[in-house]
Amino acid sequence: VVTSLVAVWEGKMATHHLDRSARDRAVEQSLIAAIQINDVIRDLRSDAPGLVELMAMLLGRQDREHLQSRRDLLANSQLASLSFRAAASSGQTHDAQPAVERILDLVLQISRIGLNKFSKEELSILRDFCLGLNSVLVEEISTRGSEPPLARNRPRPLVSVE
Amino acid sequence: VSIAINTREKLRAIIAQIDQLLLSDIPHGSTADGLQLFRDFFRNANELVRLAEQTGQQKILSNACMTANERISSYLPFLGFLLRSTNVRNSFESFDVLAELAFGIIGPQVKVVISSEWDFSPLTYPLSVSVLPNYILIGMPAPESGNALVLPLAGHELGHSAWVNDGLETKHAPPVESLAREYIRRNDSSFKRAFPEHAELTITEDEVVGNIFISRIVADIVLCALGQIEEIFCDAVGLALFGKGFAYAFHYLLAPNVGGQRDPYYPPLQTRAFFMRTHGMLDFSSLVMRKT
Repeated sequence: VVTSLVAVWEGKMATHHLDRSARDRAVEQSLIAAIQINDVIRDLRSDAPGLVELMAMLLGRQDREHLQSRRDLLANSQLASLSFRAAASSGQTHDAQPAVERILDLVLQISRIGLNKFSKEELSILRDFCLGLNSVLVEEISTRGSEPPLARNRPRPLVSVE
Repeated sequence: VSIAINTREKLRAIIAQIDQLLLSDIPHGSTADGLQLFRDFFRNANELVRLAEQTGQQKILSNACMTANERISSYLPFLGFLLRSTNVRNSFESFDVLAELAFGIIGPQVKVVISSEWDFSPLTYPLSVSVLPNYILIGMPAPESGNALVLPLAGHELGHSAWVNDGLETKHAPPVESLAREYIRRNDSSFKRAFPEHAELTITEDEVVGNIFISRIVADIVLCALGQIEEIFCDAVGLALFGKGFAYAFHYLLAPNVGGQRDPYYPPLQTRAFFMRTHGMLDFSSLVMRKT
């Protein structure tokens, strides 16, 4: 039954997932990316390798022949959820879906056109997204304890309804 | 006083504390290497705060200081663990046995540290802490330090490291996510009862994939499910390593329960016992409480 149910979603399945170790590494990486993007905004540098590294962690390896679309990214619930919470954390709460879609469009353009084609406003959105991501990941690891078999309920809510 | 000055002072203090710990008499090289890794990490954290300060952006600095605060808070217990691992109270006789099992499961790169801890249940800090790659830290409850029969519970803790080392979260996430989406699509009335503010939503295949709200629910379901699968997997590792000894130690420490509400990221104890009985082919009848 499980195999047949999974088969229903073949082709739509998210193929990339950030495990606990990767989420842990992404905490500092998102901060490094934000600092480097800020330097690009200030014309102190023209690239942000820390951002490229972060995107590789979030999206997985990019296949040049099968470039991912925004829909592919949204099909990854983990990425969609992280993006939403990062956008909300950076203050873009008024209309979640378009805000997340815009961020994901920018994310996709990073590997295609490079940062030097981005406007200052777009760079600011990306920087704030990285900071939002940093906040979300810090919150996540702050609720993570050791893993005793006796684990009782910790104050970590399931999805909240804003 | 700026938060950057305060943060750098806290980082300086923790680095100084690690330097003190490194002066201790440390019986195993893994412990000293681990302390050195933490020292390097906090020096890098200090550099990150300095870079954030140079940006002139308050929100970047704020995030950098928050990150440093969180890391100090999260990693302080690890330093305590590493220190207590040097205490002569520990059962050094069991170290080689557990290390050998870890080598067998993870590989020769693994470093094991054990300690007698003031937590009633065994605990582990498995390989998911990126500052200590390849480390397994196993803590056993101090009052049971004279009871060798609880040692099999360390098998469960080794399972956590095997789960991380073999990338099983990444492997199982996509099919679990597909099942979660399919469940929501097939049970839209339950979904709408739970989230009446989305009652107008028509849950088509496209909507299940592209709707941010549904994606966030799916993401939480996936994390809960993966957490529960990991625990069951770790019990299976414990059973595979120690057989009935694991089940009896599990029963000794946890039965009948500890009260309170279970974390949804962990399976109920009854479920874990069910899987052990069913798939481990164990007979628990001698353990069942009988009415007198």
